[in-house]
Amino acid sequence: MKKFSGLLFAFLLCSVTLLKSQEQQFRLIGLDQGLCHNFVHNLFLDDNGFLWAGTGNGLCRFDGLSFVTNPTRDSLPTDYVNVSFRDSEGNLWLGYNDGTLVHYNGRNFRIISPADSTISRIVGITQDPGGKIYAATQRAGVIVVTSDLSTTYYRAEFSDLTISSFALLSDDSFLFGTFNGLYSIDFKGDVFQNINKFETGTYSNIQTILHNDAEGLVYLGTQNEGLVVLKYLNGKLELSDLKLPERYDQINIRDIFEDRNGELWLSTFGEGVLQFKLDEKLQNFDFLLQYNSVNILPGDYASQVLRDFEGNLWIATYGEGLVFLTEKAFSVFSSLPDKFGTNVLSLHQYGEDLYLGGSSGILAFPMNKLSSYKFWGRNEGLPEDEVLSLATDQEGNLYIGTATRGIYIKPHNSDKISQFHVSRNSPANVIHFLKVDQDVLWAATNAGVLSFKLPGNQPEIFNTESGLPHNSVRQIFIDEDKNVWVSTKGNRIYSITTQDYTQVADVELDFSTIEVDKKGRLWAATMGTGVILLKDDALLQFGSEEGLLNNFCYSLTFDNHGHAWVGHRMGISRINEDNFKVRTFGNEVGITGDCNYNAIMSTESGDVYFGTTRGLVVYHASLARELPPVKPNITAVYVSDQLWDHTQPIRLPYGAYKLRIEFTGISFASPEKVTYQYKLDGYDLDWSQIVSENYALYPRIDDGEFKFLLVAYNADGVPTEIPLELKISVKKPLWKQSWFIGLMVLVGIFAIILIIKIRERAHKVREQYLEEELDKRAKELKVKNVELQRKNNDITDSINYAKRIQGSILPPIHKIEMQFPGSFVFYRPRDIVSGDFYWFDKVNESKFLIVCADSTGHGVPGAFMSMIGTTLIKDICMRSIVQSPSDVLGMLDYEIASMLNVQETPNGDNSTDGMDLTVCEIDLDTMYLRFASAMRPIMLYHKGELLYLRGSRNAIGGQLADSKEFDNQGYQLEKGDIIYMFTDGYPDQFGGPYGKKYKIVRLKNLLADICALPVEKQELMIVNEFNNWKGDEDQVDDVLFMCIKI
Amino acid sequence: MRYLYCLIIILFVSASSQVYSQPVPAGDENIPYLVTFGPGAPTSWGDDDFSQAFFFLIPKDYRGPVYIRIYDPDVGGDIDEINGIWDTKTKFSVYGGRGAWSDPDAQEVDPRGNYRSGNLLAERVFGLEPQWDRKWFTFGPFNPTDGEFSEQFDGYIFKIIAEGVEGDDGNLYRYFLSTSPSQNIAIEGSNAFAYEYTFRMHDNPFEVSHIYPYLDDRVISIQISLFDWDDDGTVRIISPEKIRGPMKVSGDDVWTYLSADNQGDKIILEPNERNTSIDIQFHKRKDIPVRNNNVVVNVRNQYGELLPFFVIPIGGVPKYKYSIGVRPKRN
Repeated sequence: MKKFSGLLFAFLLCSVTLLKSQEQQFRLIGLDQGLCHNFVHNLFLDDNGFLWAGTGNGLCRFDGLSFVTNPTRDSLPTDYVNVSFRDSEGNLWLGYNDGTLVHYNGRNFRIISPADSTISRIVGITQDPGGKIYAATQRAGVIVVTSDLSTTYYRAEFSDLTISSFALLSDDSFLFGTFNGLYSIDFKGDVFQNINKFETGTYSNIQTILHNDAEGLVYLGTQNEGLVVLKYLNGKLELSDLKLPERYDQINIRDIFEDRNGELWLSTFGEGVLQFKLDEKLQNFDFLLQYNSVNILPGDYASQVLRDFEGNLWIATYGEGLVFLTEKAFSVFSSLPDKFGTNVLSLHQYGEDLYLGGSSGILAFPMNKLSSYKFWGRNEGLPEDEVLSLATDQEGNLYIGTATRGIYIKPHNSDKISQFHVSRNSPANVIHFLKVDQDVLWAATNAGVLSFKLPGNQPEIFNTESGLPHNSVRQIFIDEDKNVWVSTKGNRIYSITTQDYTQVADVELDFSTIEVDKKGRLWAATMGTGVILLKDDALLQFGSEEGLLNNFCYSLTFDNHGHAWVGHRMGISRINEDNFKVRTFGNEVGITGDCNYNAIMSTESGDVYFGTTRGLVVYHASLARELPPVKPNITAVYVSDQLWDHTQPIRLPYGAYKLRIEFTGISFASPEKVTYQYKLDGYDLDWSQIVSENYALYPRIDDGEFKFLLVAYNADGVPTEIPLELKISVKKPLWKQSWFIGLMVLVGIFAIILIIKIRERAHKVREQYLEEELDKRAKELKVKNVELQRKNNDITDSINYAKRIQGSILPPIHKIEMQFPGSFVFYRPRDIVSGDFYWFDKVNESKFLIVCADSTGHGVPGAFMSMIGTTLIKDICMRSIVQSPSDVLGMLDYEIASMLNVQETPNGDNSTDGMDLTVCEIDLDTMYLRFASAMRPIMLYHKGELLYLRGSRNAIGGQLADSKEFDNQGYQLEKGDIIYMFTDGYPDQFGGPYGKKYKIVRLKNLLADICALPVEKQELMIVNEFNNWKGDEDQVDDVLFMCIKI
Repeated sequence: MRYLYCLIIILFVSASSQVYSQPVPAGDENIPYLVTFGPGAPTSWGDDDFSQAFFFLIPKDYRGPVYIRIYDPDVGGDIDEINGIWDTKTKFSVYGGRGAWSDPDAQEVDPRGNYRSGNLLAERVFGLEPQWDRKWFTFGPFNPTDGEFSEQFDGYIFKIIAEGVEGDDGNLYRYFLSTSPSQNIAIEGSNAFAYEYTFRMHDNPFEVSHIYPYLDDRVISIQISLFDWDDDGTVRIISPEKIRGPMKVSGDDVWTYLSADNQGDKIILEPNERNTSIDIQFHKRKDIPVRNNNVVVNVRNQYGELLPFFVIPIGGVPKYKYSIGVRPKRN
């Protein structure tokens, strides 16, 4: 590293004499870049990789891209950090100018405020092997802090000292640099003792002490007398003869930093930064380099030097901000000689000389010595034209391809340039590329390929007529078998010598370069299609999606470190030939121009040269280094737009949250090339794409346990080994928590049991109550039942008696059997007494009346009505004025209405009782039948035919009508005719298989089936039919069925 | 009232920022050199305590580096005052941070107690070092915030103490508060002040030296103390309101107090003389030239509090406002 730095510095110094490099190796960082103050007192790195700067305006933190001022919620002092120290556990200790000591464990700051008596700037912090921290103040003694952060102040022992610096000398002995010399003081038994002043030979303030335990050397940096070196061997401190070169005798040394190579970096006021190295015999300091206002520093006042984990060097300046130096492998030479300009159109190496072709001539200089150059232009015979290509033959003659004027030649050992070849066909004078293969000069032109057999200048021409896909040829490549491949437009890679080709696409491509790597694989750079690699009969394409800077490739070459280099506008892409990882370089390494067509070249050492519109870009392979993995950090977490403390696992109450996590991967060398991949475990199924955005947004997360995992990739695509984790938990709602669910189950079970128990108890109570009630009711019921039984018996007895009365008023059956033998009456009251009744009698000598009646209702009411009807009919029939059955009905209707007060009343309280009945009159002499019916039909078996005869539609009683007409119908009966009269009890009986009414139709059919049978049999079948139909059903009405056989 | 006083101070300091500081002594003062003797010198040579503290005030908005430069810091050569042989060492110490100015001991005239208050930022002892003869030595750079911030003055204050640590010779020197380590480039808006001035009078009897104490609104009367005046002329006190003197002063190796208007050692101020600076002029006697006269001067108010001398007078150099009476002509 040291050698590299020295070479680099030497290179920089030399290059400014001729080719002034853009010196991108350093960068100034000040207020404009976000640094909070230009006075940087102190620099330090924390375990997370952040660079912290203690400035005159407080503490600020840098992540490679931006600064954050006071990036903590902790109330840090407003004063500046004077010293810092990283203890053995990685904790940072910050000593402030106002005497405050701050402990930082990577997450939180803990402030140890000075006691009132100890307010004095902290000038040094160190740690003993036992882990105790010692902070020395300028004029208030020493603060000792134990591992539990308890503090003890020691002031009295130091009352005479004004301390400037502080260091651990041995396990229990310390060195104190003061304004009045060097003191060693022991700390034994928690007491500072044995204060000894050591004669250093200097009267100057000792501003800094560095103890190199391995070498047994103690370095003292003084304010006015440079560096004083002491030897500390076998517990004895003595002055060393080691001194800096004489000219540095009186420098003001603010800080001493020793890097891993044992090189000393002295930060001085007045001389900038000086680097020395002790020789192997430890006898002399070798001066290595100096950074000051003459070269890279903005001033000569440096307060500290620090090297970060990437090997970059940071210089804190006093009043000029920070200076960042990174050992970048790129140099950009933009300040070329004016007569040449800045546009490097072509490159060519011949021996140790590098030739640049430009807009107005050719520039040449030794590659290992940039102190002199040669220029050939118009004065030497070159035309006013751009030099697009250069080539030399075996004799050293330089062939110059111009943009419009063909090929020129500069003979070896001569500065005179002459025309070599010009064509009458102007496209053939556009010489894109020249290549010499032994004694053949190949030229790629806009009119195909020209081949010259040297020294002759008459070309053989290869163009579309001879098989070329296109006449515009950008470049020529000759492989080991001497096959000449051309880069032109087309869908194939074509060899003009073998006329062989490899088709690489179905569409036309624009090839700019064809090259073959050391493994024999053919690479082709294209304009618009990226880079194509022919690998094992397969094609691999590298485009912008694969990480290429863009798909337009102007040049291609290989270094000898396994990389393919591709030139683009405003940058360069590098493809690893093994793993095909792509890395790009652009403005961050100083490239501000566009790469020119095939202005590219690699050397045996692996350096790569690019000709661009803004100068020459050189990649120094020996200076390249692999970047370490970046350090990922979470910088902020916003929960529903509220900034949240992420230094601890985030625990949120139940809810739905918007989550935004901001992070950074710290790389100081290439911060803008850092990429990220993340996953919210418990939310995301897979890792995110690799992105450059440094935040992750989750619009809604609900309850659950999450783990945010972050991987950062450095510019080389190397990921961090272990993903950074941040645990986030959103509390489950009460009802989702297992204890609550368990509790609810238990509560449920308990509730069920309780309910059961309550119900059981209630049931038992109710059961008991019911039992008591039942017993009570049973007793009551028993009493009532007895009473009811008694009443029922009384009623039944009464009704039975009424039945006997009713039966007594019904005419005896034998009376009609005597008159009409073979007749029968099927009379079955529903209850004890019946509403249906019959009456028949001989009303005069020749007339026999038969009445079949159905009173309203049944049971007792019906019986009453039947009693009334029987009485009235008997009375009416005996009246002389009654001449026909219709007269009977009419008179009966009248009498009923009169008797039952069937008339409308204002309140509607009128009787609707009445009866349906049939009255048949049989003239015994003539056997002529006249009948009249109120609402009841009769069925007549006459002359072998069963007739269904309807009666009047008016009922007896019931509704009061002005005119009720009852018609007489007459039939001349014959011997054997049968009259069937019946009430609605028979057809209205429910039963049968479906519990339906029997209906008149079935009765008709029954009678039709049996009417021819003997009457006795008919009676039996009618009764059986009724009984069968009724089955177990209740009888719905009184049944009266009369059969009179003539 | 205190806030009003602070506000007025700030306003005046701001107003004076048009003037570039800060040679100390300043051009308006016409004082050739500050002087500090080694502790072995007799006080009769003009230094009562062999120590001199000066304060530099940096505007709080200034963010550039600050350099405190010392002209001829060594003890030797033709500027300094020899006493036998050159055997004197002078220590210059620069202080900043909390207490550098605000500590009460820092605002006293004698080097007692915690007068070295604050953080010691830089220190250098000079002896006979010809390389610094008639040369500028530079302390710094200092971050302005290294000074002690004063709300009263609205800026950062640095303190520089010059102390004789060995010998008996007189070190004559000057300061300059600069933005450059190698040139005297004044900081815009800065100022410098002291509570006691130990300086060398001109040898030329026609030169008049000035100091400009600032009188705030609390001042009713002042007491001006001179040490070792050596009968080197008279003193006049000029304010916009009044001209006092010339006052004859006498005394060798003793403190004397200026007296005006036969009012004893207290000088009663007019109401309009408050909140302004007054010009104390030192006129050398011309009859018998006095050479190498070193003088110590301080000014206290009626409470015994020391009043600061600003090298850039707050409110500008006081000019007496002449009152011209016009009487109507009588016919």
